[in-house]
Amino acid sequence: MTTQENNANIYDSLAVGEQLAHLEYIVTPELLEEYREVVGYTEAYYPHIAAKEYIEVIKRKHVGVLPVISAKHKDEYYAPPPVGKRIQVTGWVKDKYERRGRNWLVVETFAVDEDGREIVRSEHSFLMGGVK
Amino acid sequence: MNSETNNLDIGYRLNSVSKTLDQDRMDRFEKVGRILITEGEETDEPTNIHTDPEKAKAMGLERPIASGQMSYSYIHEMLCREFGIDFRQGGNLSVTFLKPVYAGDTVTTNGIVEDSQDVDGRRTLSINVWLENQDGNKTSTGSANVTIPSPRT
Repeated sequence: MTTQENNANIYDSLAVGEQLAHLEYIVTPELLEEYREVVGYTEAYYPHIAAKEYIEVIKRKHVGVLPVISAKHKDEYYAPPPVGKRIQVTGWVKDKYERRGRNWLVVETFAVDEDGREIVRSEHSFLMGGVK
Repeated sequence: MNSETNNLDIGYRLNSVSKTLDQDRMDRFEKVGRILITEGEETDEPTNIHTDPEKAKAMGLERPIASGQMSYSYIHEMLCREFGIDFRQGGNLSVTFLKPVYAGDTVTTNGIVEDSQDVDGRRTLSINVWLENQDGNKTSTGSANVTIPSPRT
């Protein structure tokens, strides 16, 4: 199966409102430090920006290569993730549509820490497949 | 926070942030995200359109492009530098990625307050944000909102 076919299969199988895979991870001091160094900002507090949770929640449910091109990202910030605490992320398909013959997907994720404290709500729109 | 609330009104221009990208930084951005989300299970450098020239070409791109999330992080930084905890706890940011950003590009963030509302002792600002490359082309545009002081602090 080609990557394009795999992409099309995943897109076709996704339903608006469908709950995607659950994620859990811990922001360690080392990873936060590396993220801050990479983005060049010593007070960066939201390393999820690099984590691309919106792709991972799909990949873990619909296994396969998922080349996409990001179109838009939206975050609503509640509180920075506490270092050392487990972060739990749920995701779902918010929307899918075809435009000019290309498939577009919108995924929403919501992260809380292990105490149930809200961290961030994200929405990401992307094009399935390439620009050609 | 580096601005007095009274100065934060329509037309106020946020302090810009400039970044010059290189392939090493683009690679490391992908890697730190990967390690974080997989809890260290995937430590090998991931290859995708941001790190691999062949994969970039397969997607119709000239060469690897910086992740849109890198651009997002720079605009996020501008807002955090300006508004501090009020943005980090209670703010929101939406960014649309318009043009690719490549290794070697220098991008600069911009933000202008376009609306200001005072309610119950708090000021809510709507900010028009964008990212420009060294040629003056907009590579991302978007909007942000912040309430000072944030009801979440």
